[in-house]
Amino acid sequence: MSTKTPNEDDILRPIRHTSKKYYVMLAVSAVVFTAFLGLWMIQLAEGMAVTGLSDWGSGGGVTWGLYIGAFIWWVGIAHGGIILSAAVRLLGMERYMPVARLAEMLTLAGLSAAGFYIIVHMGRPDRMVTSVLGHYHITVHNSPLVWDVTVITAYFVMTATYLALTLRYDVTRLRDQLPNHFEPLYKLLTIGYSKKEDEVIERMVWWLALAIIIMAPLLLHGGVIPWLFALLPSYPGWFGAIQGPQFLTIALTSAISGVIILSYAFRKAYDWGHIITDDIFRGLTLWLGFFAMLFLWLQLQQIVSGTFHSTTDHAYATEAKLSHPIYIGSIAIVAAVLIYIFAQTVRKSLFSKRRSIVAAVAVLAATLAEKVFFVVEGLMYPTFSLYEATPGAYWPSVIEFVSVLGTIGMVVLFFLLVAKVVPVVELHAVEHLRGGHGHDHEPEKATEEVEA
Amino acid sequence: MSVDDSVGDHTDDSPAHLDDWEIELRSALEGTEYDADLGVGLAKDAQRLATGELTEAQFRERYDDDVITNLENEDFFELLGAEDADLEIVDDLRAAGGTFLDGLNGVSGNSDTSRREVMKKMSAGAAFLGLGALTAADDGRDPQAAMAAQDDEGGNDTQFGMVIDLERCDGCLGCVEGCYEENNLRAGANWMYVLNYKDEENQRTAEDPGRLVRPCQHCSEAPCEQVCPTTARHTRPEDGLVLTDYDICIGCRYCQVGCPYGVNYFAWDPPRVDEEQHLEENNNHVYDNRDQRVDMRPPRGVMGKCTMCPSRQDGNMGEEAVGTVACMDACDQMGMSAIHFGDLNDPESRPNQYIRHRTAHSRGELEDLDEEGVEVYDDDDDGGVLPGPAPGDDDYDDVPEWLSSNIPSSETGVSTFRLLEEMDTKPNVIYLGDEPGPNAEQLSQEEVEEEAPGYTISYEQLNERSALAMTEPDDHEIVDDRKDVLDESTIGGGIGQ
Amino acid sequence: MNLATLSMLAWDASSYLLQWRYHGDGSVVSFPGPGTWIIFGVVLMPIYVMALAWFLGKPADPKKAVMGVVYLVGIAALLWIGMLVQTLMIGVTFF
Repeated sequence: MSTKTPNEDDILRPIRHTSKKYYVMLAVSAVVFTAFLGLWMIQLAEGMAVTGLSDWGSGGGVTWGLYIGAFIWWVGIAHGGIILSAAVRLLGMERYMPVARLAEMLTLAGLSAAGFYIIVHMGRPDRMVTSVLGHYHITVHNSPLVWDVTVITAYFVMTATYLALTLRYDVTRLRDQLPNHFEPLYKLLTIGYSKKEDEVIERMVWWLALAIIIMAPLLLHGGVIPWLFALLPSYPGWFGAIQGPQFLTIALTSAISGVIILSYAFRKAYDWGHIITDDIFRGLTLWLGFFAMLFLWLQLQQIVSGTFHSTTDHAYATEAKLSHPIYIGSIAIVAAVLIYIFAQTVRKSLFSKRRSIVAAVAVLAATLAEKVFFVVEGLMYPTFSLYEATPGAYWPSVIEFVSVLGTIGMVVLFFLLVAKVVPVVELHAVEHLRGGHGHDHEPEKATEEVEA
Repeated sequence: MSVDDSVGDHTDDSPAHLDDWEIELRSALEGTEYDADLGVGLAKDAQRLATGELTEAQFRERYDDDVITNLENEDFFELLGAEDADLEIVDDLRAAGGTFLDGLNGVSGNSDTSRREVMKKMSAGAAFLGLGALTAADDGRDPQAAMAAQDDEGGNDTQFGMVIDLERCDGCLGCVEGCYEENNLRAGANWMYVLNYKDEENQRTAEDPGRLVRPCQHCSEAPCEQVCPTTARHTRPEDGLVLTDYDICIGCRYCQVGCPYGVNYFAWDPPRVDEEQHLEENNNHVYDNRDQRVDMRPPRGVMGKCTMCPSRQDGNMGEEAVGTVACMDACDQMGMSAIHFGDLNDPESRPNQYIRHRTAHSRGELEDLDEEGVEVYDDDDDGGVLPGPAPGDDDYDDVPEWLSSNIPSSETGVSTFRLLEEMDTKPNVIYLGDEPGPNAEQLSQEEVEEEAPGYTISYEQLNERSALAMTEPDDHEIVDDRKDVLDESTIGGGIGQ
Repeated sequence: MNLATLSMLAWDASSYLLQWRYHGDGSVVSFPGPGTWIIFGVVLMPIYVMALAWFLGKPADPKKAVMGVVYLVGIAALLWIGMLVQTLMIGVTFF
């Protein structure tokens, strides 16, 4: 653990310094993202037949597959921002303040990736706005998909507003150290700023955080997204009230994993050991364990109720799930992560940041696989299962697989670019750490003078 | 396939219901010229019949033939001694009948009888009160009664739908072919699909398979329409057809996911004939009378499914095509007449006429055989296919007066069902024949060919017959493995099973 | 104009505006549906509460509250207009 005292220079480092590694990452992520854009254009030109999807029923396939699974996965990851903001702002867990903004940005990036998937998944994306918004006043009353569009928009807009409001404070104070070529942007960001507003904005942001925290986990990922599936009685693998909490726990495990990876990357790249401390990783890892436990607990509920004495169709779907290596594999991974995290709380020496990263990556892989499997399995084992002799099985095409890499590239690109424009660690966090409120480390030196 | 054994929507089985209707019925009848005691007594016995307390034979013993005939005629009022009924009394009776049916629903939960039997007896019970319409309004099950339920809402009075006689179907796949030709369907987009299955519960085996003819059910509570984020999937108000506006659909495929029957077929890739040419050649056929593009195969990226031929209904395809659908025409041409399309709300429509003829026919046989105690279906010469009047037959349009009454289905000997009724989609396709149970398993064409040769023709044979498939085999081959067709365009992956 | 005429007019106007449509069985679809209360009654509740708190809470500054609303509306508009442009470009290029 570092004993350096954080200062403004630290949080400005990503803006001021550009390493060779930065350019390499920029190039790689841009290439991957562009590769997917290219493949997507092939899909646009040749139709959705380039995917591995087909019609369920006599079409012998599944209607929705990896695109929809990955869409859910990204929305889940986007929840990282909420958890951290809630922890910091509403629950007073200030130790997580240094990673809160990164997490909020992950929300925007994750939701953008999810939104991108909605468009990629459509047969006629050109009508997405005209057809959906044009009939919104009719469809919102009945279509769960329109509810999703509504709530994801609200979530995105609220998080962006949250970031924009909190950035006013930082950008004003750091303005002189920020690069001049973004001047118009900084002017726009801080328009009408006065010192008096800090207190008011602080209060507004608190309410905003409260609103997002109720809406995003409970009503988005524990609400309208699972309802896309859970409200359809003809799919025993989907139907039922448990999908709300189940989706939420999966979202939270992937969200924490996303934040762990992101924080580690920034810490390593910008030598932020004294800002994003080991303590933060320990805490995040513990939360990952807690959410993983809830995830497994709800899976258990489903397995027990699906096997004990369930209806024919439900029993059939559960049996299919339990005999599939992808399901078993993802559950096993999450269970292994849970065991590790439990072990490292008992025996502290088992903890290492590297192991946390491995756990986080493993969980993200498992949740992606589980989500895609959930979507596919539901469609493969409907109540009306008369079509089972129709030949066909689903395996994602190259384009679908690359879409995952492409959206990851897109998110990485987003961070590489945003980190060049605004500080990704809140000035408040530095002030807080400098103020000596750190948890298990005391600053060695007294407050440093701020460089002019 | 039903997994839900509950009966109806009513869970309140308080016996109070049974008393309520009696009081209501009596007070409705008293003070009029009707015989209240006879009315209430009859209704009570009808109820006992439904609960199994009273056997049909006992019931028949209790009332003489005249009474029974009158009951069958639904002529409740005449029976009770009145010449004609005034409307208020009818309303009161209907109110009484509502609680009567509630009572029956509650009671049935306690008996050992199967769900379908209870339903049949319920409609029998309702018929005794002249309440056929209420059974339909109550659960939408009784096809004959459905026609009487029209106009109550003051809205549309046409509901297109089908009666499909599964016992007449011989697996010629004429309907599938007709649909392809009519709509220029792409390979594997089987808007009309015929499945063969084995099902232990129905004694259906690979040697003697069951069959299901599956068009879109054009549900009155269409889940596909409800979930659609754009209103592209909609119900035409004038005739209840569930259609897709190809110019609005965004191709999210939620309708396909929302549909419990699997009747939707997405246009995964661009058709070989380009859009402009298609629209030019088929201008009358792709747009309906509202000028919405809802008919024929969809363009790339949007959803298609069985339309029940709206441009035919609108007269765009000529006067003689109004009231017909391509699959029905094909079925008639093949001499099978298993598909009967028309307005389910019109008592004189083809499906309603057919169902009356069909039930009357088998009822006649039932009466003949009843005395000998012989079951009617097993020893039929025609491989289980019961003869029924076909459109060409002399007596097809000749509906005897007594046939227009609500014949209790318990006496018809023909079971009718609608698919997945427990999903509450209110489908508008009524099947005659056996319903596939929850454990029914589809048989592949190979299995059928092997175990029951001749039971159905193969897709290969169908393609040799189909003009469309012969001219453009790549695009319009009739197949049941659409996944394989689509996999040809899949870029990397998409491995078959 | 009597009440019946008025209510008929209101019905016509609302069915035109809200595009009520008919089910095959004569009942009306679309409005109100489950989404009417789930979305506007429950899901958006946090936003209503937040907006109220912005304007009514202390220390008060109505200008900042209005600014917050402008942020929300502006970002939403930006998001959807951006998407409109993107989808129209897709339309021109590929459809």
